[in-house]
Amino acid sequence: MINKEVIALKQIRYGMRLADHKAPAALLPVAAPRFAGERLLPLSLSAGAAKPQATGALGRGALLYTDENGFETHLPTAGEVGETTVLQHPLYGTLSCVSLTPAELPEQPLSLHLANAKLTPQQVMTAARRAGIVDELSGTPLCEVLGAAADSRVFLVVDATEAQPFASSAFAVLRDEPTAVAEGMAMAATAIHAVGCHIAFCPVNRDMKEALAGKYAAGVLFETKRQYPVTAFADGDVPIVCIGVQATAALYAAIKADAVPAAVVVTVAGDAVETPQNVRVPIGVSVEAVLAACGVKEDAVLVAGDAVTGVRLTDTAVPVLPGMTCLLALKALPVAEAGPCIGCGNCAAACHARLLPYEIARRVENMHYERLAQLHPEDCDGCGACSCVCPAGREVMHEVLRAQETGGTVFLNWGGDALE
Amino acid sequence: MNETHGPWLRAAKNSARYMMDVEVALLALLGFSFACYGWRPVVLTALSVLAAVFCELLGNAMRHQRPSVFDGAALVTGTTVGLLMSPITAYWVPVLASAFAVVVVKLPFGGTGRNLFNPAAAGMALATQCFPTRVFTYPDIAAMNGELPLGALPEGFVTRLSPAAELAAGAKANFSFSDLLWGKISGPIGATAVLVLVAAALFLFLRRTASPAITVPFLVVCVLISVLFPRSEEGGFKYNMALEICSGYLLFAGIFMLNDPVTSPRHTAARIVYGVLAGILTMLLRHFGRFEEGTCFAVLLMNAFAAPIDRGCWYFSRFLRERRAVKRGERI
Repeated sequence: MINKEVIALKQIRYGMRLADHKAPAALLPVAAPRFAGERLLPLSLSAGAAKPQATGALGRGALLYTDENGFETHLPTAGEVGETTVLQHPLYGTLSCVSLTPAELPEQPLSLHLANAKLTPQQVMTAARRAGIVDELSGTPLCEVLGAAADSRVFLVVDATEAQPFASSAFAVLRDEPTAVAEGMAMAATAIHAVGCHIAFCPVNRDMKEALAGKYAAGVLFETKRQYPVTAFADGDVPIVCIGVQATAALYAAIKADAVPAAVVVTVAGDAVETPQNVRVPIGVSVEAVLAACGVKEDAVLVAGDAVTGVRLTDTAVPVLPGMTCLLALKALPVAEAGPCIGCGNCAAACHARLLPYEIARRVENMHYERLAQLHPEDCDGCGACSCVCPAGREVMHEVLRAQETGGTVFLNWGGDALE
Repeated sequence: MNETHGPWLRAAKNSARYMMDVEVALLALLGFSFACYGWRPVVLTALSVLAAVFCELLGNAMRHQRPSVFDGAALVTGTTVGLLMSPITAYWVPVLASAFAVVVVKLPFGGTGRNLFNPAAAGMALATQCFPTRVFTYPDIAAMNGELPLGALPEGFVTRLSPAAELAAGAKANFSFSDLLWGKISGPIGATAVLVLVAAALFLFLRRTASPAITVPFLVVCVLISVLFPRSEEGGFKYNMALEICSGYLLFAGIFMLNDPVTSPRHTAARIVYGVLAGILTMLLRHFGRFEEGTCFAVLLMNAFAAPIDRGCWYFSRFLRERRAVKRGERI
């Protein structure tokens, strides 16, 4: 097996337990409805304005754009590439997108010729870069995530934990493509000389655990406890690098079949969805079309991402892109009228960074900015557990993040120029 | 509410539900008192609640705020003050104590969630300090025939020293173990029913409305001090210990007043320290205080130190964690 050293993966003990809303989506097979109509493909997830390198009728895999780092974007579906538009995406900000009208055209494979080769790290990195694989956890190119870790001693974790209550898309990929995930992980581990690797998985219920039985070799899956957030760390201060399951499977497909990523598995759930399910959505299909295919009414409140850290979607014309692994449709905004802090201490108990969120929020509210640094708000990673458990419905996390921003420099913020 | 960012999943249990849990537990105690004394304790408590709610509404009106009584905090304050009164006290005593609690101790600091001191404890402190005889004169529950009258007490009404007063005087207390257990002792309306109090505590702990991190260390320290430094040699240490715990409103304060989330620490380690210190202070006040029962003063004094204890314990635990991490060469 690939684990060269005996390094155990451990889990941070603190956190909170969220309700389980994964059923029935997690246990249903992944739906793959047909999406007709025009799609919007981003040329790059980082560059603002850009021009496509080719237009017109192109086959799947045709090169669309290469950014300054050599990261290539290919056409995920064959079709007619049209005009470039600029749109605001809730997850990625300003994006230059080309329109794509799907059509039947011959495929243009990547020609990496690595299917039977003995892989070198360089080859894996090249494959990740040339196939244009985006890591869905961070929303950045997979080659950048791996590249940042390549020169140090790291432990690779394929993160399929999905600690949030609704998402089960990573689980669905884990269940349906065990070979791709396991082999893809081994390839990624080769690329960064990882000291070990694991697929971290959080078995929320017994059915999910049973669905994976026998699909992976012993010691590949690391089962985490059911808590939010799941933060793992490796023994002996070895930093861990987390990559997404879908990106891992895509890496395998790129190397073995010269294929570019074509679709994203998205969990469509929430109380406004009749049958919550995982849907395989071709990259570039609009959120609107996905919701229509799942039978979501138009007046639903939409959230991109899961119930804790998700971002509200107001424009449904935006395309589904890697990184958007869960779409929530809620009947109504969960309106919580913020009351005063009653001091229950739930936020402190739920904080996995062991902070005092209520005290940070109080100091921000009372403008005791100079005393904020003592409470180390910089340790907050914005998991949102504190806001979730607050019985008074306060936006505790946002106060802590505000504290992070101000961090004792409020006077400079007020009138730094005038003071100089 | 922020409408662009999560969390989109909110705690099912809101602040009012916390208060309602406490209120249910308090009403169970009132029910026990009703069974013993009839309507008089109920009327006393109701008046106390009315005073608290009225004062809160008045304060809201004066400050042009929306009424804040629906969070249930005024209800809990009024009920707590009512339950700590003697069943035969004058009707105006709990009214005054509740009004003081809300008008002086709660509203000027900014209302629910911002008060430094537990309003109910402050109301009791005022009543204890100003009208000790009215607060500490209890009916003899053993000599009662029928219910207490709602109006003036009849001539020759039998009162009896409470176990707390007898302990303070160092005399032999003549209550049996079963009297203590079944609440057949002289004492405040809601603080004698030991079994109901224990059930209420379990209810609050299981509902996660209160945490045992304060109550348990508090009671353990009280038991230890009563064993190590008994106030009465009569009846053996077990009896003395039971008497200390069951007399006055020590148990009640340990469950309800010290656990008031607003005025107590929130960090678990700090809660334990807080409970221990409150136990020591309560027993000190019992040994050297002027009154037979001074737990409310202990609660108030501890309230003043709640925030420093909270932060101090957090800084200390963080210091320990950092040192451990450095030793192991790990990240925090």
